[in-house]
Amino acid sequence: MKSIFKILLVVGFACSLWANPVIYPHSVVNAASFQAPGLPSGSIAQGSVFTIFGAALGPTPAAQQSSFPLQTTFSSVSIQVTQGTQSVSAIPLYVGAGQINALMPSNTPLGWVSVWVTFSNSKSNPSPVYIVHDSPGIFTFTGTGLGPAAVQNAVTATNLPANSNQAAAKPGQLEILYLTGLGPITGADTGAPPVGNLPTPVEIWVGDVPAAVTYSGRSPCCSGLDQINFTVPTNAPQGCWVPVWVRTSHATISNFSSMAIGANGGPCSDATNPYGATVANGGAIGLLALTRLTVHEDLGVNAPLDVTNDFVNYTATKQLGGPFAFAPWLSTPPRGTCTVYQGTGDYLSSGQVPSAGQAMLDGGSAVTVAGPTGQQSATLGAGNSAALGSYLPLYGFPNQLVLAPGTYKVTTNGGDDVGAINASITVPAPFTWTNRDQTIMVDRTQPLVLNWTGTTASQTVAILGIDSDLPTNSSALFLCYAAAGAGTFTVPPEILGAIPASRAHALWSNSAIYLMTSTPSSVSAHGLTNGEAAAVYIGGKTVAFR
Amino acid sequence: MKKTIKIAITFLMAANAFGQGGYTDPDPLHLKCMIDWINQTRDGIYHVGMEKQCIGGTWHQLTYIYTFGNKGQIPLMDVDTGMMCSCPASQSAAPLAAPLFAAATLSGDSLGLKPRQQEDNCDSPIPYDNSASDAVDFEELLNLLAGSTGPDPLLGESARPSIAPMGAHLGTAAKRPKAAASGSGGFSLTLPYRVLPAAPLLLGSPPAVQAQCLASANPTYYETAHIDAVVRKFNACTGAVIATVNVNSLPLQVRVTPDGSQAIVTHFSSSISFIDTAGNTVSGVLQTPLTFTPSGLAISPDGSYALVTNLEPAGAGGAAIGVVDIASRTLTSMIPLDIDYPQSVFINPDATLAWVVYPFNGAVQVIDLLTGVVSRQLDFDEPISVAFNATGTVAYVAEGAGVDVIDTSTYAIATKVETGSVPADLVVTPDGGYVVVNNSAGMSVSLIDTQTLVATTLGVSGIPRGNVVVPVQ
Repeated sequence: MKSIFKILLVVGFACSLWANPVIYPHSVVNAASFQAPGLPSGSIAQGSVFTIFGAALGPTPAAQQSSFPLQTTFSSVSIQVTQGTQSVSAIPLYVGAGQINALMPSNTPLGWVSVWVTFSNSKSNPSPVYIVHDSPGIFTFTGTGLGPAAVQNAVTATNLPANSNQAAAKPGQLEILYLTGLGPITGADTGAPPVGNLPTPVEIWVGDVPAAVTYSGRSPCCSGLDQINFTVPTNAPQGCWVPVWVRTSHATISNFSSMAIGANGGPCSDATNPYGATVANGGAIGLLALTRLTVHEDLGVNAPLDVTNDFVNYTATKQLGGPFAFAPWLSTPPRGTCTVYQGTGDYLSSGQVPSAGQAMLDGGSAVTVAGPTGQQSATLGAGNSAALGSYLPLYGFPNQLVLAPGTYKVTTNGGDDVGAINASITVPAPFTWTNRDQTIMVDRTQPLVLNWTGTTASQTVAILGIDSDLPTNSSALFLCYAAAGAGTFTVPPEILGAIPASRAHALWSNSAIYLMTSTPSSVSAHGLTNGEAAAVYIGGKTVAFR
Repeated sequence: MKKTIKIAITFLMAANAFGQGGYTDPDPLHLKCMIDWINQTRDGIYHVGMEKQCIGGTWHQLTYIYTFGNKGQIPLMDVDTGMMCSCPASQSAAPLAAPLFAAATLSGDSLGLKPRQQEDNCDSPIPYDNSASDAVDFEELLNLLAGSTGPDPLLGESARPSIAPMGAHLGTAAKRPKAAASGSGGFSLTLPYRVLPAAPLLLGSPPAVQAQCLASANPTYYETAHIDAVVRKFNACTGAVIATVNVNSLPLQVRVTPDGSQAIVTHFSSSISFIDTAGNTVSGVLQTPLTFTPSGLAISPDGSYALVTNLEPAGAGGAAIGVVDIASRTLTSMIPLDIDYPQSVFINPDATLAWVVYPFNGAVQVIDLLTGVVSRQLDFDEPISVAFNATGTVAYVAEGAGVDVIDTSTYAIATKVETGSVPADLVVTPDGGYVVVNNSAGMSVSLIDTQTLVATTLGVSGIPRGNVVVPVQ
């Protein structure tokens, strides 16, 4: 009898839980950037638009407020923001079962608050949120906080086309960038927003070049929506995905978006990006690589050691194309610049960065590699890769590495979407990261200089720095492209500042920097618009960001 | 580099522990007697404290039922035979002397691993007092991995122990000669390599490697001895007792602060002790109200506060979480709870939530730490402990018949992994690859692969009562 009672109790409780709104962990975020709360710009600004993700949060179908004055209860949804005995009501703008977009009142107390959603008199769990004065998030056309920014080219006062890969901005052109989080306003947030510069100091960079700001404040249309009017620097780099980001109060860096810049406007181009046209116009891209990854591990170890892996990768993707097309690893910033990707999850362990606008293609999973050290057949697994060999100079492990310099014949068996590939890949001697062992503690407020030798002038060196903050399940990485022939690159502090600091407890962060080169050559296969085969060398090391 | 850590996990084989943090553990020799008695008389509440006294040639158990504050003498009796448990001649007139858990005497026998018939007849002298032995402290070992007891390892000033390829040497046979000599001292197992960014993607099996505990790192762990009112500090490599610290009566759980400077101890006798780990002395005692019975203990990741459960019935002044400011050693606030007898508490990695387990009421409550509000309540079969993956996206809950894998976004049970009997302590290995489970009633240890969620259960010749992750060389 007791058991039956317990079961009934559980069922009843489960039913009640089902009806209650639920806010998911770490799911109250800036509505433009969706920055994970653990990241430097992951807090919510007073007067900004924020998003709540969860379940049973609102009605189905979703509803949206469309007229002033805005109501604090809309479609039976209200949002309470509490700090101790103090409470304010956030303003729901869009309410649906899985997502709410709302305006954080300008008079919300700073610091830790709790956000609660009430829907049809059912109250959610509280969600802890940190409130700050300002924390910018740039709206993007991908809707993910990555890729092309919501920015207009101010051709004339009435001709304001959206910047896109078909409508690049010209150097010196006035632009209008849309974001949220520039700070609070005086007066009520429920009415039409006041127009005028906000006192919050604002800086904006276009391709690592500071741009002049002519306006930074609310956009007249919408509560919580900010805009920055700026001029594209005449010396800004050109390309389809030139990084754009904002810093407020000389401290808080936004998400990194992009814009297209060309000398003459119109369709963009980037001679240093072999995949750019296919990403923009759509098509199938196949990338086949023989990769050697050596990671120098000298933090938190008894003695430094190098872990080396040889593997083969093959990825075929269908790029959907379009004016706002973006694929994180293919929509590269122009050579000489950096961008940052941030989000939820452990990027370093998972290797997953949010992506959009592309779909995986079946190019087969069987790969054969034949070269100076013999022939191997491999089956691609997780991450579209297969291990060929490894070496760890410890405990008498055998050296199983196979990718010695030389020429290799690599074949894939083909799949439903992409035919077989026969490629010849020449593996060169790896380059040397000359100040690798001195790159341990990275001061994020200072330029980070990286030096190397052993590359050819025509190559590009990609630099990847990453920190995964495990307790908050968030990550950020910077990705820079440098001319290999320069032999050096400096990562600016305004890039490093977007990376969270490594935790003092080494097990709570994953932090590393990698330098990469490749020697690509074109390959063809049925179904591919753009095929590349390359030898890739990646030299990495563990670091701590301070 | 933690990705390539080689982990050695020490399973201390001794008597039962009903959960992480260790509660009043019936002596194995009398476990059956006690459990049966408790089940018959206290509706399953076996959360008791005991002192053994030999009175008139018969062992008596001086029993505390903390939740009710009662105290009584119960003659120990073998429930199968009905025979009273007679005292050994040498101790016929005095309370049992202390104990008894020293590396020098560790062996299968001294750990209570006696033949069944000997265990049942209750006639044996009690070779040691394991009552209320706490689970070993995992956090300190993690701290050691991070070198947090010394200079910041990230500054390169202190070699952080532990780097080696993945794989684990499980067991302590090599470190506990007597246990090994008796054939009951442990086991070893090499875990497979994991595919991680900085780990070798070796083809085939790695060479058999016998990892050695990194003695130079001086890894330690702590145990409480409930009856003896001491906390013992052990060398995790050798199992030797480094220090014995006299503390207030009835210590229960012990945890070490993230910086390694303090060990904090809960006492059923309404107090909380602070031990200076450098000097191995009690540096302070927080006396709690008499209505506050400190039980479970969790320390925040930043080391600023501790959460302590009050193992009392719900109601005014009853079941609650006490928030202890570690710097000032004061009880700063109370989070009242609405279920009786909150036993243990676990803080999620970003310190936003506390998971409170109620084994006697089959529930886990997830408490929002900013508001003190119950965010979610989950039902389990006698949940005992909780562990999280590093990102806090997955929680592992040990309950009666296995370990539940919980998606912490939705609180849905992704799967239930069968383990040995009565899984108790849970430890997620630093690389996140495995959850190590000691099965307190199963004389076994289970390793749950966090990718496949399949458990491998390995029998051990004893009842494991805690897990320690130690650095290896």
